[in-house]
Amino acid sequence: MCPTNTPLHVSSSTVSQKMDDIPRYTDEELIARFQQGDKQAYEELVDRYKDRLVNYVFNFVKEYEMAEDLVQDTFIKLYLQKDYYKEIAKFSTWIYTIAGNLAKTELRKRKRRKVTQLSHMSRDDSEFQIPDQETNTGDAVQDRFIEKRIQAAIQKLPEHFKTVVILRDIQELSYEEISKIVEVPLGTVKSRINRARLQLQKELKDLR
Amino acid sequence: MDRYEFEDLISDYIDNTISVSKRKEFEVYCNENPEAAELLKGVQETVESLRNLPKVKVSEGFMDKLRSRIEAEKSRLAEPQRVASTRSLFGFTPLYASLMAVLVIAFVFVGMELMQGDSQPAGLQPGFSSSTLNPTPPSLSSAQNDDALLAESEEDSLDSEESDKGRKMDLKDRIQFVKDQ
Repeated sequence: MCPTNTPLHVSSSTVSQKMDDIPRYTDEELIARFQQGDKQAYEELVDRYKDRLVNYVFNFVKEYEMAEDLVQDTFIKLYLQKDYYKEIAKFSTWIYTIAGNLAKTELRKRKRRKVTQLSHMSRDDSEFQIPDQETNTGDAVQDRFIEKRIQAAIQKLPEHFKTVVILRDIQELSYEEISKIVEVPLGTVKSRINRARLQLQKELKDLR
Repeated sequence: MDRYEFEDLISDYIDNTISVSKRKEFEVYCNENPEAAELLKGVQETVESLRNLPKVKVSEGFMDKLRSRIEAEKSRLAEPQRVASTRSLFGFTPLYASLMAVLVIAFVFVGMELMQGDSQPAGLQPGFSSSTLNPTPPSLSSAQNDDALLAESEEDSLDSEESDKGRKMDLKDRIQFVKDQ
């Protein structure tokens, strides 16, 4: 029997509305105000995107502190290079692109460092260092284990698959927006997301 | 619909981006193939678990840290501008400009000193220096040394003339000897 299809996707605009309790200004209006010197608009933008971006970057770099530093770098770039933003693109696309590029640069640096390092921590010790906020109950341990497995499966994906699947299934962005962020055609984005999901399903088959 | 087409359409089906006719076709294939239904269920659960991953949030001091980093970055960027503004003194920094000024003054001063040295008093013959006019006599030892050096040089010159003559004589003898033969 074919499983029923419940709509899983909630659009990014819905999420943002829930988060911000229906904002007075759109992102594009806020960046325009900031470009005219309104610092309050900048703080509002940071407030809207800080958690979403740290979540996005964390899925690449796997270290919480590093993710937070990279998101700060993103916001510093926004502050210093605000005039580079032109209203032809959505603000979210622009900010995700900056954060994604910084995360990928960091990953490349790490790869280079890994090549030169002969000894490093074991895989289990080094990966997924989320600040521990949970008590060690049985369920929490189980959840943590599943979460680790999912994160490990994401990390196994090729970079171009990883980026699109994080943007779609974790950040819940639309296909169109993802297409603009990764600068590839819509059809390619769809195909990459599909293949990434199939690969993840294969990796996580034993969890079910 | 075959297996490949079914796999290609899984995400479109989950995300509701598929036409009605294709959707029906997809569901028919899915109902006829338990393996395909199993795969679809697996992908749906995977997507669900990705969306339910715990969301990471920024730490408490994020905004304060960001503000202080922005301030630091602004002052860092202001630094080279200040240096650039001080380089407007004919293209020199104040340090190099003052060094150049000292060198020019020193050059002019030395030049003037030399020019004063060249313009001698009218009664003096050329070649007279201030030391010749000096009334204090040179020390004896130095005078003796000068005489000795002069004598040696004269001897050397005489010696060399004599030896040249000797060599010429020798040559004459040899030439004669060759002619005689």
